[in-house]
Amino acid sequence: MLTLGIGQAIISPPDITGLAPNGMPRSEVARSILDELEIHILLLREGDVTVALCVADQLFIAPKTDDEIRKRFLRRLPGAGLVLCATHDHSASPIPFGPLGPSDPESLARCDSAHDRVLSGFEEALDAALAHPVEVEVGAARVPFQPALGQNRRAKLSNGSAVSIFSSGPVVPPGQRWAGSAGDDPSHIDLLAFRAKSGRGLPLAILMSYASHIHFYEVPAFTTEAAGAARKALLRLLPDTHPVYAMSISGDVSLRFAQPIPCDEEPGKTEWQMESSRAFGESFAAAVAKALDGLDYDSGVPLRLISHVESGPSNDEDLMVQTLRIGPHALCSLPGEMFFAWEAILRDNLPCESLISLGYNRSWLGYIATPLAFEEGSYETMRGPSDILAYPTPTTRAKGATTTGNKIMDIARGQFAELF
Amino acid sequence: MPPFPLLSAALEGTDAFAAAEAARLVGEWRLRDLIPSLEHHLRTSRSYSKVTAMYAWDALDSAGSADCLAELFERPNVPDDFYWVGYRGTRAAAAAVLLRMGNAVGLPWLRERAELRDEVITRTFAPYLLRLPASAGARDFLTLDLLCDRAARDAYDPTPYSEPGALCMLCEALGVIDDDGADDHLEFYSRFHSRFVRAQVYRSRVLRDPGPETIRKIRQTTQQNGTPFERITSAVLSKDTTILARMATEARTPFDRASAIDGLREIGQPGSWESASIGLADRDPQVRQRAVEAVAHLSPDDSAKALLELRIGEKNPLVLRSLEAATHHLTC
Repeated sequence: MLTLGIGQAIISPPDITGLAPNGMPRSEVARSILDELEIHILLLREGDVTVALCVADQLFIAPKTDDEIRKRFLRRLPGAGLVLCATHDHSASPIPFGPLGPSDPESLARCDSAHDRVLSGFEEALDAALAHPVEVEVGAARVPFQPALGQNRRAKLSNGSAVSIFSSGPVVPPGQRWAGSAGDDPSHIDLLAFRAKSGRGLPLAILMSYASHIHFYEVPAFTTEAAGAARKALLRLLPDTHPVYAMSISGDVSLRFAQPIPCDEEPGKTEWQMESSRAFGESFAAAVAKALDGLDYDSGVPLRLISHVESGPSNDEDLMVQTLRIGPHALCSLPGEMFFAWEAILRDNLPCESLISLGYNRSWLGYIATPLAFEEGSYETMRGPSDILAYPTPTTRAKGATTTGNKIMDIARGQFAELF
Repeated sequence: MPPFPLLSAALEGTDAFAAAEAARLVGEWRLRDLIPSLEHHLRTSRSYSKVTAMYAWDALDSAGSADCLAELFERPNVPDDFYWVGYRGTRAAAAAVLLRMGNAVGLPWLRERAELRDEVITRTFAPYLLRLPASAGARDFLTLDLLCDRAARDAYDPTPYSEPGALCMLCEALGVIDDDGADDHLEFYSRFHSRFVRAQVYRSRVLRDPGPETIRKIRQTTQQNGTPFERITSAVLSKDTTILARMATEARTPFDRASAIDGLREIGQPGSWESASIGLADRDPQVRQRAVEAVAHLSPDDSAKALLELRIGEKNPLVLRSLEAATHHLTC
């Protein structure tokens, strides 16, 4: 028998004075909290196995955050498993931006308070998840999402190199031509739905994963970006279904459908961001809601989690890969930020009925491109597993990063084989 | 209906890539009827890819283009991505094309950015600026030392000395710069891990020394250890259409097949249009597109029937736009 508990809490920074969100360079401090950042927990139990799936509106899950959350979690649920990841929100995790710079003690104190809020939010969400467990069944779907609103953000040029496009269109050098996209667009949403065992009605909760960055530009505010918009849109369509939005492995995919920004000043730019997020959310929610009709459900047993953690090539670069089995379905937690192409490799010859990939766990190893992508170049290929001492040249760095990518695949597939 | 409905729609639409491709076609095929649409796109689009329209307008040598470009240099009307390259790249494109036209309004800014080691100038636009006549003034500050600092090169400073895209542009610039010291840097990058950088090194070596021995060495290197893209580049440099014809069908990736077809076009032997035409049936639209443009360029009369037949059944807009440009002379 599988039970589900649902929890949620607000984790917005208590005081944003002198702070800016981390993720993209900002030119000013945050002006406001446009909408509250959240942490969500789905607490699953089957027999003596307990696993919490936790997604937070954060840029990353920093190792110190992950360590502290796990400590608190295990204090309350000894022996339980935890899968913790971020939505890779570029407007969530604060850094000091005051006039006194990054060392301003007051700003640093506010960052600490924001961090404490994440920790207390986790506990608050866990309280809620523990309060009212319900016996559930599980359904999974791979939902076509066309046109794909996430688009590969590396453009190939005729000389073979690739350039990153964060906004609208590359600056093609004179004499070169655009030679297509350097990778695929993500055309599916993966979801796990949890319905009450009574066998009727809509799910109590859905975990959804889509392989695209969720930001649009360096908005001067804290906000949930496209992830929050998708959650809100789903709640409007399905008020009794708790939506949890996670990001799949998507280091080279961004939401460019709304670009370019149509104006140069605020508040127009922020309004464009909110409208673009809303448009994404509505399309996303419509696709998900439609997929819930006729979904097949199963018992969701057995429930089992395997975790692999090891020290990475340098400090703060731990490598964590986790696979959770929920009946015939697999959920895989991977480091950020692997290129989308790795997803196809991971899905090759799956031993389970479905797979939902979650990126952005505690092991931020930077971008993990594919071997050809390293030869093509672009911004992402310069920020991979990058211990300069271990990988002093571009050649060794490229080899090191693809070795890491292959290693992650081997670990994950080994976990699949063990679990299924 | 306008004379080029697909190209007009692309230039006036919201798809940045479609507009950029349309602009490129307008420039390459000298489609003067579309000059108003091109200007409209330049003035109203907020996409960085409108730099392609600047190059096209330059190719058309249209009256009034200098004024428009001068305005865009001052106010590019694109989002200011202050931490990235789009805004500065758009200004640099306007300044560079103006310089080619004999208008030096952007030269001080280009110099200032170059001296700050801005990769937009020292990499992206360096080859173009170095190809301008000495009188344009860019060669005065785009020196070998500025482009390629030896210590930074040996340390693989990110990104100007280790990112393949930046290095492709650097190696192209090394092919045209008037300084024999470039040969040493090309030798260094001939061992770089990226096949695309190595291929550019081969091209630049031939630019600097187009003799048979240079080409022989490149062929020997690529035949022994070369990736498909390097072998394609070598075939282009040695004008070997037989190899290119084979790779246009046998290369595993669409990019390599398209590059082989581009190579046939670059060599320019009219009789090779039939080899290039094999790409018209390729399953990948990028390959079909390149084949359309190659056969129309190589032998417009011989290829007319094949192109018009393709136009009937083709559905992909990328290919259809190229067909519209390449077959315009057949329907005039």
